Amino acid sequence: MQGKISRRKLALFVADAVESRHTLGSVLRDVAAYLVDTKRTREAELLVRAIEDELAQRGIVVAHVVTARPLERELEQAIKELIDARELHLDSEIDESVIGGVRIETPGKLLDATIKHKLLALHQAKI
Amino acid sequence: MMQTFTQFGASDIFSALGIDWKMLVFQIIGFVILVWLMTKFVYPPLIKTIDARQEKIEASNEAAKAAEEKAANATKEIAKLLTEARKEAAEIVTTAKEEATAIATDTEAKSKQEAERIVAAAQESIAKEVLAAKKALHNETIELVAAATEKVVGKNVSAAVDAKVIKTALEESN
Repeated sequence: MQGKISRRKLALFVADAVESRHTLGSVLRDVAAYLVDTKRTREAELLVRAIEDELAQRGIVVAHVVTARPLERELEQAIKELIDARELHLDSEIDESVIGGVRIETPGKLLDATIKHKLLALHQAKI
Repeated sequence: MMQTFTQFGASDIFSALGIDWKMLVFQIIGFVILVWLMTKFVYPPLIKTIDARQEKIEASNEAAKAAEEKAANATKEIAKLLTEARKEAAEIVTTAKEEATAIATDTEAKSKQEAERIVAAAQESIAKEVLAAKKALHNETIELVAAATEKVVGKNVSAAVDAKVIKTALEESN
């Protein structure tokens, strides 16, 4: 019986597939099946992060963007310019609770310029 | 003389003078016997008594002299003791005064220290209270500002304002 494959190796395997684009669908299926088979489905979220980290090192960045309203094209372009990646994928999310502003999360970096965050920071400024 | 006596008659002279020479001889013998008796029996004990008395008087005089000397010595000793006692008393008084002064100084210093400590504690307490009040005011202000901002901004953020906010944030972080 084969030993447990580390999350790092799985992330490298998927990142290679993403970069090559040819076998991405089958690779993702295989990895998902492997996780189910080895009862490691709880690690899925962590594995996604590990894959994103690996891809970010290779210049392919997945940015999770949270705003209160859908982003205009002009702002999307500004975000792409800000992140400065070889290949950028925006994972946009609309969350009205942030009131306004933007929250951009990339592997290893976080920019939270939402009004909600600023209000929270104001609350935390209490002595 | 005897010739004169005999010439004129001795018995005649004694008779003329009213002296009975037989009686005179008898008296002389009696006197001699008295002197002898006195010398033999009266004078020795008398002299002995006198000598004893003399000795007693001399002994008394010596005792008196000794007592006088003793008294003089005792007076000197008393004077010496008095001087020492006065000196000692003066020393005791001086020491007591010094101790009293030291105690008073010490008490004064302690009182001063205690007063300073109380004042410092009061000042510290006041400073803490002022700081706590400032903190409370600061927090309350923040709370009010945050609540007001949330209410006002939450309702009034338009798409244009939101876009401007996002743009500004992106420019600032660039």
